[in-house]
Amino acid sequence: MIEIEDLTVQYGSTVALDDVSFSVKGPAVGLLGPNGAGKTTLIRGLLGFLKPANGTGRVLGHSILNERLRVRELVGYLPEDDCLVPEMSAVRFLTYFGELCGMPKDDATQRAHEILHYVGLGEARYRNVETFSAGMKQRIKLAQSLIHDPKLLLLDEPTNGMDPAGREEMLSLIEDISRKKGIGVLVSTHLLPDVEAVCEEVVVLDRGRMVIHGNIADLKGENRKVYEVRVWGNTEVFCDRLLRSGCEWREWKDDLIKVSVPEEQGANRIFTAAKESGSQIRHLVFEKGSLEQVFVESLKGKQEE
Amino acid sequence: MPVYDQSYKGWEGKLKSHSLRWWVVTKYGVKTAFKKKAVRGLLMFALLPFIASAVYIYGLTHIGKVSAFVRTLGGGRAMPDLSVKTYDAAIESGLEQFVERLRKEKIGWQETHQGLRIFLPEGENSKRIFAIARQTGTRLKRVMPPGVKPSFYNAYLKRQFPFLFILLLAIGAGLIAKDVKFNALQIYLAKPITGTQYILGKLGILAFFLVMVTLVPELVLFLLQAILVGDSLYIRNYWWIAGAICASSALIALSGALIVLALSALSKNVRSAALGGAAVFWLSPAVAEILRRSTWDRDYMLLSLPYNWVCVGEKIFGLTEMTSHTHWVFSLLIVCGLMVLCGVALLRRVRGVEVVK
Repeated sequence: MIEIEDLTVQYGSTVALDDVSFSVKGPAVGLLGPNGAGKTTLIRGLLGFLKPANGTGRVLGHSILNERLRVRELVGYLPEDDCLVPEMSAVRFLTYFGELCGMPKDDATQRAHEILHYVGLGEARYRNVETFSAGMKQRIKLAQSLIHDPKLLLLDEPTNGMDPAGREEMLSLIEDISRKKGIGVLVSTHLLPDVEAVCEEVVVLDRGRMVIHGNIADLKGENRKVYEVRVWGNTEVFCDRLLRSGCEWREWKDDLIKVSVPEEQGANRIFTAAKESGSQIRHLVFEKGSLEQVFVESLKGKQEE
Repeated sequence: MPVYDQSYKGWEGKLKSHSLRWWVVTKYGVKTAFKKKAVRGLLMFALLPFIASAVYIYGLTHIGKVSAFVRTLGGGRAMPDLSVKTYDAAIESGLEQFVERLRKEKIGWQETHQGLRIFLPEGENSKRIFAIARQTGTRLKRVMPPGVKPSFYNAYLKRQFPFLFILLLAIGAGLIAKDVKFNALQIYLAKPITGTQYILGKLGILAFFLVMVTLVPELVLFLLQAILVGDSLYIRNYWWIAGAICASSALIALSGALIVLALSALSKNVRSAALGGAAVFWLSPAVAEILRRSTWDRDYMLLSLPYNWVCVGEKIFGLTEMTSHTHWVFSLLIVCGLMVLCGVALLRRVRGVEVVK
């Protein structure tokens, strides 16, 4: 879906994206990162709004440097900011952008009505867009990104400014689009629950660098069980035994270590390793993996580097 | 059970080619502007000089015949009837034989400072004059049917300036400023449309309205004139006026539109853009005039954009009695320079993302 290779984008002397490389298949990918991480810059780079200082990328097989118009034909974009063309009704707004994409007028008009119903703005379709509430503006932005039936949606903070109910609806729309309609989705947000709700894959950025990338289930350790362990005795031998028995471990804090055990096996592996190494288990807590934990840990790890 | 499936459906159609995407921007912009009563009213008001000019041309081609007849009677020369066609002829040699022949054939004429004014009976045309010239061995320098001259069309353009300025500011000031203010540029440019196409589209909106008050009425007046004269000689002699009208109107429309669009792109505020435009169109001539009068240096007039338009226009229409005091090349360079500057400013400002370095 998206391939990025050594992408560097600068605003004057400020490096907004620093040598970012990844490849995602979708259908739903989360782009996570704190404010100023470079998420919006990355999306703008994919759309060809910004000229990279270095590197290249491909969206749906098309170069972001040389085939910008083709990329834009295949991609729908929901910007972070409030964006609208004043003095236009919702239907006219969508028809306009449909025609700008190259759709015939009749098709654009019919599709504008359909999309507005789909995003829940059917009743408000003859209202001028500047009179819409914040939630409605998010929906109309989603509608305009869908008007030309794109193959990929780039959504920049899609639930920004929405109330909880509206947010839920927006997330279900995004989920429906990506899972049932076959449209790839890249959701840029700093809200982890949003990504967890709709995405299978995640890319985490921090200060312009890619921190972590992979399948959310793998990153959360959903296929493995994670235990927080403290042992008394020969820790080195204990860890060695763990590795031999197919477990993974890493130092956590103080004298605690985190042990990851394959899902089908339980804590018995840990006890066996302790027994074999002549150590005692003094502390053993099962830990449920979350994206937030992965996110925080990866950021911490990067900062320590 | 729903009557119509309201879930998301794909679209199987084929997208049109890229080349005419700017036309969509123009089409929607023109429709939006036409929805405003003020714009419609202004356009109607701008038609008043056109109506007055049409009446003038009609009167000139009809009443001119009557007055010519009266003048001929006063001169004691023969006049077949009231229905006559008037021609102005400049003669190089053989004037006496030519006049003698006119007398014999009972064709009315009178001397003018440029040559002869000939009154042909209705139904005749310039071919008769050329035939007489051939028979008498007269060398004709020029034969002109009656009617308004190039200066008339140049003056018409000048008279349209106030409407032009108001239309430019009323429609143009907000064209890009509103898109910048409402962050619409990033949705525009996320679609398969380039910044240049977007600018072209916006330019098209202004050009449409400017052409409506300059080029279109002038060309209609020119055609009206040709029809009322009823002689192909008019078109043959004056066909270039149509070209001059097109060139002059295009220069004014393009430069005016580019200036207003650039001002609109440089500001998020429509009023600021309009004030900037007002300064260019009204303040610059005033300042130029004050400087000219206080220093007695005519070159200061080049500071005025409308003056430069007039100066170039007079050259395009080939006027011999120029109202402008400076060389037209300077004015053309200034107008072209402004256009280039505005074009560069537009290309720099119309981007999907505003980069603050």
